[in-house]
Amino acid sequence: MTRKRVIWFFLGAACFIISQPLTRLPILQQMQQSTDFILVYSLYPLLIGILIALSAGVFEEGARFLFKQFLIKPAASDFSQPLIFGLGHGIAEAFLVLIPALSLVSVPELGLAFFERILTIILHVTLTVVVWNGFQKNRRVLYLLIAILIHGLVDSLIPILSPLPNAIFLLEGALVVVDIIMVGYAWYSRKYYTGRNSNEKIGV
Amino acid sequence: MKKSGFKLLGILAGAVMMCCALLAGCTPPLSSDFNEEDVKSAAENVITLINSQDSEGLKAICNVQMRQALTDDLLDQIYEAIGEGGQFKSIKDISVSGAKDKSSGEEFAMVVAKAEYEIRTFIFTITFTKQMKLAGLYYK
Repeated sequence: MTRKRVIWFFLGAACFIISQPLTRLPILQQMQQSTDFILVYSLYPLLIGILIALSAGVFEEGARFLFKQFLIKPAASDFSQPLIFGLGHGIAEAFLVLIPALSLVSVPELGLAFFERILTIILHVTLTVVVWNGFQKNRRVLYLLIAILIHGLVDSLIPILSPLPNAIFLLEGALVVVDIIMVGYAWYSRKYYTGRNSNEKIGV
Repeated sequence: MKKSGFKLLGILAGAVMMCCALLAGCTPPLSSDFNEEDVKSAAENVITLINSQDSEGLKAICNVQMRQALTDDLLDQIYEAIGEGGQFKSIKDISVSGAKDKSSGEEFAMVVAKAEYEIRTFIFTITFTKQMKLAGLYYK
């Protein structure tokens, strides 16, 4: 059981690395080389910012969905599975975000960044629960779309709130509110997983 | 489910990218008062003037607001920053669209040009009035 949980954790980390640094970010970087894209971004910064935010939802939630669909079987699972997978996903992202920052500023100066990463890890864990719920309730596509929408909306807060004064505190505050709601939903979702421990099997 | 899952993800990823691509292709059209080729040539001229550090030439094509904003100190800073890119090589890509000032209703031509230098590439965003006066200059 412990070995399975370690595998779920590392699959979560791999899911982030594949969906973001290896897929979405190179595509975005390529698009940002185009003068057409820069022009339209200059003219419609908010709209393009929201579309870019939505693309994070598509790639990350889509990758979670594919990992669950093809690598982590069966569909029915223990409640700890999405929690551990989401933790792997969130911690991998935190490492990739914070390690470069550590070379620029000292650890105490990164207080707010650490806090933000903790909130983001909680969000990744609860979004994984949303995707997994689709598998438990056999409404996979619906829950995938919900997860994409939530992820996209949360990331959209960056272009929406950034121009405002005290944007960082507004963003962190909004993330706290979203996390509280999502944790409440995840807690409520435990019932979908009850008593399914015995059928677990990992197909890697 | 496997096929439909893949299909759905492909559609979603494609939809987001298509939106960006379509938006890129659906920039506001240039006002009929502008000629696209003239706008491109004027933008290339601005980059040439910057490369040759021709302050008088630049000020001569500015509108009043830009002429006031482009002080000698500011121009020196621009020349220094662009100079760090090394020798100018060529303009690799250039895009043009219309733009409108929401408060005044004035229409402009906006140009984004990717200029390749020996060491690095700069992206210039240049705006012209209907009289083809330089009304905005931004680089990164």
